[in-house]
Amino acid sequence: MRLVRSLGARSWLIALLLAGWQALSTFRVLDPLFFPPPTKVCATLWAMLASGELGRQTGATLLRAGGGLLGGVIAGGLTSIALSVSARLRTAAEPLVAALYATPRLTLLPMVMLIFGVNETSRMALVALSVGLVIVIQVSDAVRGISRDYVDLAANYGATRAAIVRKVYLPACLPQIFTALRLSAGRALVMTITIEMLASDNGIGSMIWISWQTFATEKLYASVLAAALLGLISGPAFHWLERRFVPWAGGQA
Amino acid sequence: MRVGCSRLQVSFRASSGPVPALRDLTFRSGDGEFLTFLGPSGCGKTTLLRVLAGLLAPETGTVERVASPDDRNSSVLLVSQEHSLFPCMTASANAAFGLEMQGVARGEREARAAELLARLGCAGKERAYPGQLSMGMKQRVAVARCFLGDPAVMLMDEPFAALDCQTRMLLQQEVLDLWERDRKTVVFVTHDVDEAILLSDRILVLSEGPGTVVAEYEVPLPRPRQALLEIDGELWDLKQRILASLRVAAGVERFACVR
Repeated sequence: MRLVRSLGARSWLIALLLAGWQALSTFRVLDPLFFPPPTKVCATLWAMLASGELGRQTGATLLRAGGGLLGGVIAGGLTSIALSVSARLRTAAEPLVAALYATPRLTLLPMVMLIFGVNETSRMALVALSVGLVIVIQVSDAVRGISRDYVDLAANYGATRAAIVRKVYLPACLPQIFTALRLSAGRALVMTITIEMLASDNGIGSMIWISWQTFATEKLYASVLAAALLGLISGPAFHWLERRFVPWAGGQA
Repeated sequence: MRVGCSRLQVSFRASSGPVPALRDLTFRSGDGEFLTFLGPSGCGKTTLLRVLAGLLAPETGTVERVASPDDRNSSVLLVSQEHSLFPCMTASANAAFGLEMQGVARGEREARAAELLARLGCAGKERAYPGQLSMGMKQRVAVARCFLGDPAVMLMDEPFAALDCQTRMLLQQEVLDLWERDRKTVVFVTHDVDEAILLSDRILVLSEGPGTVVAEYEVPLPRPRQALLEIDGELWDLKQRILASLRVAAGVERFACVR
């Protein structure tokens, strides 16, 4: 019952808009060539799902976004560790990180393609870069926020340096890492789909772009809908992961 | 182990210049003595414990640690008031942290932690994280960790201050029983005169900050002791004398108290 009510509370506006759109399109107030009715869009989406095209394209996008995310987490994690260990490196890297963060990552796409070529590596590298940056910034903040008291406490009980990293620093950073992951997952999807529109022959982004160029509006809307659904799922999925791996972050510390 | 310090001086840096926290403080504990520092808030009690734990270097003066033959190790463990538990570990893992650092196997760690936590009234809370525990529960876990760490000296910074009077009495009794089994040196800090009398062998009264020792009292109570203590007769006199010296603790002449 609660689930039904919460679903209702979340979806009445969307339902209303869709109904309005359907009516306007059916009664030709809107040109159905430009604004195909939602029923047709859904039918197209279903047909794409049935033919396997949707699965294939979504798979390609997810693979890219996931690969980029993974690469970004690993690269960002390693960089973060290096930056927390060496104060000299941290000082030198700070302006670089700030400059990269302020640059729209997409503007780097031509450069990255120049370096790696027009291939999967370039696409994933750019996604990894935008994910890695968020991780580095979040983790640096987390490390700075760790109270000296916890380090003292662990040392008082005879913890070695390695044990302090494992028992104090790493767990203290995990909540921030997961927040960064959640933020980055959405970012990685946006980045991947954008890159696919510009430089790819498969994936949801490329499907959107080809539909646009061939004026297949029903397919265009269906593809955008697929992208939106993907984004909708990624948030709760990472929330779930976070609750599993960072169980202490729920209560106040 | 015996701990002590001589002519200890510690200051904190502030924008207006150094603020002295402890001045010319000298004391020495006995072996296996329960020694309590009693003083008004802001007299540098916490600072003193941090110096004794080796977490803060003294400005001048020396800290002494003299090992005794029945020490199992040379560790000095502190139960602090704030940030006392690791937020990312369960109560059980927090309590067993000392054991883990000593390389005790997980099964044994958990069993010993569960046993002691149950004794201290935390049964059923083993899997809870500090964020889900009340202040009083957190303090119990911190006390459990200290006892499980089996140090040569225990330093305790007002461990019962956040507790209601009922719980405090239960915990005082448990700590008395646990301590009286083994009698490792304890340096305890409180501002509660009754608590100091109940627990200690000897009480040192600190002046208002910068803190220094202004009075010393032996507590003539036999052990084992009961937390439900009637303070009358001789103890009532002692309490009145301690209260009097606390009242004049704000800056009268120094009281030498080297044993």
